[in-house]
Amino acid sequence: MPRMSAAWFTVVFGLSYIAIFALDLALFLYYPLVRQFSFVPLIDASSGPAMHWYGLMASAGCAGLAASVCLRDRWIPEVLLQWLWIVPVSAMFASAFLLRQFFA
Amino acid sequence: MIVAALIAHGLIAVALLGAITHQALAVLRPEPLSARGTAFISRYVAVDPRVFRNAVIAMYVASFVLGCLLYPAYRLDARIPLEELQLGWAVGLFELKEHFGGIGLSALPLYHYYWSTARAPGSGRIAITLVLSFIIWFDFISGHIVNNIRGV
Repeated sequence: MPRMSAAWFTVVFGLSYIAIFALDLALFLYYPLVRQFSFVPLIDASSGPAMHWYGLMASAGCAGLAASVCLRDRWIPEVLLQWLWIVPVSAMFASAFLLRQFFA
Repeated sequence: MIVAALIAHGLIAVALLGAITHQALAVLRPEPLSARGTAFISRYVAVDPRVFRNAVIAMYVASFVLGCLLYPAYRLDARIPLEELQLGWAVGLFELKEHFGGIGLSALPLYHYYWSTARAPGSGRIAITLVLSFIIWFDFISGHIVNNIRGV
């Protein structure tokens, strides 16, 4: 099993999550009413509402996993090491901004 | 089944809240305190915060998995009535909860890295612990608020 970088996973997951959420690039959709996963939106109205979040997590997870396999912890500059937590915080702020229509 | 999963989700979340809050307060203490003090706060924060690492990760993952299993029931049985009641803020609150929860899950590897590596700076360790604390408290409270309005 390849050695994986935990720090790079978090950083790339957070950055890609913002882009994937903003551009709605979910890997797949889930239709809870018919209990069906789909790579494309189902046009049949009887399919019920689609859930995007599982697909968003999967998309960002793939990006994070790829980065964690390809990149090494030691490649993170020492000066940046203490600031990596800013990425998940930024992803949280971006998510809140993208959801602002619910609170208008 | 859904009710049992919801109760387990809540119970694990309570234990997780206790662990992350204990760790966060311990890591924030200004200087090492003696566990022999009599004051409750002194004794509460006089623990080694490293011992919480694996418990926090295990409970976060367990709570997250249960939340994922409950999510379809929420989408069908709770969100649709909330939308019909025009409670957009409640729907948004739950949306925030799910996104923060996912971002928190992705922060666990960094949290583990900060708490496992000698090279990791102390300020990063404190920050990621506080970020996870915020997410866990926010998700717990927002989940309760939405469930009190319209439960699954």
